[in-house]
This record gives sequence, C-alpha cells and structure tokens, in this order.
Amino acid sequence: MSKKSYIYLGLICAGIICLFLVPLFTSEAQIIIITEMLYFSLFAISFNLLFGYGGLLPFGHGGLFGIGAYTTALILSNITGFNVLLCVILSGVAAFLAGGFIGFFALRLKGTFFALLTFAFQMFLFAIAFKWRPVTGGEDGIGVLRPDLHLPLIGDISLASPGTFYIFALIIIIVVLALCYWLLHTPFGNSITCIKVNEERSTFLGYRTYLSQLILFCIASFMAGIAGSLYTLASEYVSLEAINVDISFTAIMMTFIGGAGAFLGPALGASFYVVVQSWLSNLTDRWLLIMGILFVLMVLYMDGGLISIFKKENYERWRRKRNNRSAGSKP
Amino acid sequence: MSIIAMVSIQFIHGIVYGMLLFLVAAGLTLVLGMMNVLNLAHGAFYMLGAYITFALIEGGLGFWPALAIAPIIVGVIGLLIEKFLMSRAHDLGHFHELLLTFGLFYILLEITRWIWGNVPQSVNAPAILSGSFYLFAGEMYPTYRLFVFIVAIVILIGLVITMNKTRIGILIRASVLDSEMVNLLGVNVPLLFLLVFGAGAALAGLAGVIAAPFLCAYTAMGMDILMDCFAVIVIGGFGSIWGALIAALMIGLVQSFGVLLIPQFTLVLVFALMAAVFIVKPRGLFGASE
Repeated sequence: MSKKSYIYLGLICAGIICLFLVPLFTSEAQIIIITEMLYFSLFAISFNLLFGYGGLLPFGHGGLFGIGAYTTALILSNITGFNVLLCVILSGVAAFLAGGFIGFFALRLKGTFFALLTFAFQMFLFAIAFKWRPVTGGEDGIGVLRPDLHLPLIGDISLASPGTFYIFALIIIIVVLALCYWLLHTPFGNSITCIKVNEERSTFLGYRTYLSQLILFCIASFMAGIAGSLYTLASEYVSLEAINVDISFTAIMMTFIGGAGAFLGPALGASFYVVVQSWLSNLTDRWLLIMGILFVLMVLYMDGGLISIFKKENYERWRRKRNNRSAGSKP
Repeated sequence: MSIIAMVSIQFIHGIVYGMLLFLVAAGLTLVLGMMNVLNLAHGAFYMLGAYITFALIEGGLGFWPALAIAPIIVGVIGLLIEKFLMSRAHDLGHFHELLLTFGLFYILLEITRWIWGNVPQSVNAPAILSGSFYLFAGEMYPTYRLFVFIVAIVILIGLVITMNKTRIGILIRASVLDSEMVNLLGVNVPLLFLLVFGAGAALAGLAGVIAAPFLCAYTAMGMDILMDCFAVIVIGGFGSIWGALIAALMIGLVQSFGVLLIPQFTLVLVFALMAAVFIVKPRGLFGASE
C-alpha cells in the first residue's frame, strides 16, 4: 500500500470512531435523524452500485427497499421473540431473491427500457402492498415494536433507546459497506466496471455480461433490503411510504446530489438530503420542490455532485482559473 | 342489465379510454422514436392540461375556450422546457436526459400540488355534453364519452394526414428512422424536434382537458397515465403511430374488462399483456427490427 492509501485508511478509521462516539454528544432527536442518514446512505450507495459502478439506471430500486421494510414488519408482527439480527438478514435475503427475479427480466433490456421495466415492477409491488390489506394493512401500514437483540454469548441488549439502536444500525451498515467495498475491488468488481465502459468488448473478452449484471443487481437489492429493514426498525412502523415511487426517486436524488462518481458520494447526498429535509420541512411544505430544482441543477450543471467539491483536480482547476484571471490572460 | 349489454358497454368504455391514452402516447412515442428520449414529464403535461382547464373554468371561461387555450399553454410550456433545459441535456447522454425529465416531472407535480392542493378537483362538462343518449334497446350511455371518442378520432385523422401527406410529416418519419442522416441532408432536426416536442406536449395537454370532466383533475393522474403509456410503447413499439393506436386500444380494453373480472388487480392484466408481447416480439408489435 502506498503512503496515500494509509492516509485514507487512517481517515476512514477516525471517521468510524467519530460515528461511534456520536451518541455521547447529541440529543435523542438528533440521534434519530443521524440514524435516518445512515440507512438512507446505505440505500443510496446500493443504488449507486448499479448506477455509478454498473452503468444501470433502475427507477424501481425503492421496491426492493420496500420489500426489506415489509419483510421485517411482517416477521416482527407475526412471530414473537424472533431474533432481530436474523430478521434484518432475512429481509436482505428476501430483497435479494426479489432482485434476482426482477433482474432476470429487466436486465434483458438496456437503458431507458431497463429503467422503466424496474419501475413497472415497483408499481406492481406497490399495488400489492396497497391492495392486499389483510397482510400489508394497506394504507394503514403495520406497526412493530423494536425487540431486544439476543446475542449468543453476551445476552440480551435492549434496542429501545435511539442511542443503542443507532450503534446496532451503525455496525450492520459498516459491515455491509465494507463487504460491498471489498467486492468492488475484486476481479468481479473490475469486470462490472469493464461492462459499464464497453459491454460489447467485454462480451468479446469472454465475460458473461448478463450474469455479472444480474449478480450486481442481486447484491444491490440485498443492500437495499437491509436499508429497508433498518428503516422499519428505526421508525417502528411501515406503510406505503416505504414502497411508493417517491422512495426510488429519493435514492436517485440523493445519489445525484451527493455525486455518483465516488463510493461515499451517495452517503454525502443522503446526509445532506435528510438534514435539509428536516430543516426545510419546518419552514415550508414545499421542500420537495426545492429538492427537485436542486436535483435538476445538479443533473444539468454539476455532474460530480457535492462530493466533487472535495476532489483535488476540481480545486486545482478552480485555482488555475483564478490565477489566469488575476494574470489578465484568457483561459 | 343483460350480459351482452354489459359487455358492449365495457367494450365502449375501453375504446374511449384507449383513445384518450392514444392522445398522450402519440407525442411520447414520436419523441422517443426521434431522439431516443423517453420524456417522463409527458405525464405531467397531461396533468397540467386537466388542472389548467379547471383553473380556466373557475376563472369564468367556459369549457370550450379552455379546450382551445389549455393545450396551447401546455404546448408552450413544453417548448420552453425543450428549448432551455432538454436541449442542454442532449449533449450529456441518455441517462441525463431521462433523469432530467424525471426531475421535471417532479417539479411540475410539486408546483401543481402547491397551486391546487392535493384534493381532486372536479370539472363540469358543458351542458350540451353532460346528459346521456340511448345506445341501443334501453341502454343509456354518457354523451361526454362519445365526445372524447370523437375528439380523439379527429386528432387521429389529423395526425395521419400530417404524417403521411405533408412534408413535415415525412421529415418526422424520416427522423424516426435515422435522425442523423436527416440532419446531414440539411434539415434542421433540432428545430423539427422542438416542434414535435411542443406538439406532443399540446396533445397530452388536450388529452388532459378532455379527461378532466370524466376522470377529475387529481395529482396522481400523471403517474397513472405514464404507466399505461409505458405499456403502450412496449406493446406498440416505439416511434410508431399505428402501434401506439393499436396498443392503446388493447390496454383500454384490457383495463375495462379487467375491472369487470378482477377489480383489485387490473394492473396484473396489463402486466401480463406486456410480458406476452415482450416474449413474442421484444421490440413491440410495430417496432422496427434491429
């Protein structure tokens, strides 16, 4: 490893330690918002896995988030004493399987049609959640209670307070993101990027592009399912909000506002989105309009998103421009 | 009511909704065929048509002036969007175009919610159209739906004549086949596209106007019609007017009979139809083969 990557590793470790220390310095209301940032970060990163790394644009990613959310709610409301950790993992697996099914059909199409076919699947899932009242509760949704966490050697840990739940969610998210990051740097991850850049050539090189993309789709679905499960556990309630079209759009907006070019870009976007949402929704009902306008501006004028502010080359470009201006010469 | 009467009334319902759907899908499919852009904001144009009609009628203008003015307003909005926003995104690639139209859809939806609220607004049809007429042997049918059908037929004939008999129609069809080549031959394709985009928006607006009295103006209508339009395009193949017509009628019929058979899950039927066409002909019934 080079010197630079040690610096990055150190920064990331410091960041993680800071995240674990957060509950000591914040109020309960703030910790709830920070937990929301966390699971939406996971959700947005799972979207970016498809968009930024795989070159696929699904419009129905929220459907898989919804599957995770509803699976958790259904397990916890029907089976008493179920292990929470297992429940979170099962929700991920449910989304994984659903993602496999959706991807199996949708990945046969490219570009716009892929986007819309996933979107159609989400509408389908939404219709089930909306109309199948005996199971999903329709518009009323399902309320659940956060149960205690059973660990084999340590015993029971109560997750009732937002602080302990935050730590629980943080550990799960760090593990999932670390696995995801590792996966992207295996040969499989490289082949995904290769397919994104030139699918035809990848086929000639012997990659089974459809299969690779299907695996990627399933993994992203798994992550979205985990995020959805944490959403249900955090709000102790699930309703149509978790599966309707807006949630897919939220992921797209977060990714674009944060920046699709970097692994943690969507996390920045998700944090920004959640903070601005909680701040603006106190001031005005029209915060979604402001978000929409911001999103359109990002698409049109700032392709790298917020995270590109931190990129060195942008800073250097900016400095060069300033120097040119002060020297009086035209760039 | 006898079975035959019920079936035939559902049949006409289906045809009427199919024609309405065709009005929206026609513009969408042409834009998609020419520039490979699926304009998601199209659903919002339809919704705006209905809400502007509501506003014009509230403002004291009658239904007939609204029928003329609202599509023009929506068309101008469409022109402005293409001129100042979409044309910028054309250079950035398809994903950006798609995302931009999605963002615009959202913005238009939010603005509509802001101005008119979330409650469905009912629009009254003019007195002459609000009654019913005798369909056959004692069965009544609302006059307004007949009016919707007639308007759609007039537009269809107009479209067919424009597309087949005028120079501009021929240029549009040529651009659907190969817009780059048409551009090289000295035709101003961006301008042509601007016109098609505006005309498509105006058509969607018109559909919104005539849908308002019998479906109400509500904020989810854009998303609803967009889903059906997507099915129309998958089934009909893109860039094809005839494909859009046939597919829209199929969807209309499937929906109206689906309500009769399994009222909860009509979406499943549309889905099944889409899947069936998709398996048999992946590029749609009238889509060009690769």
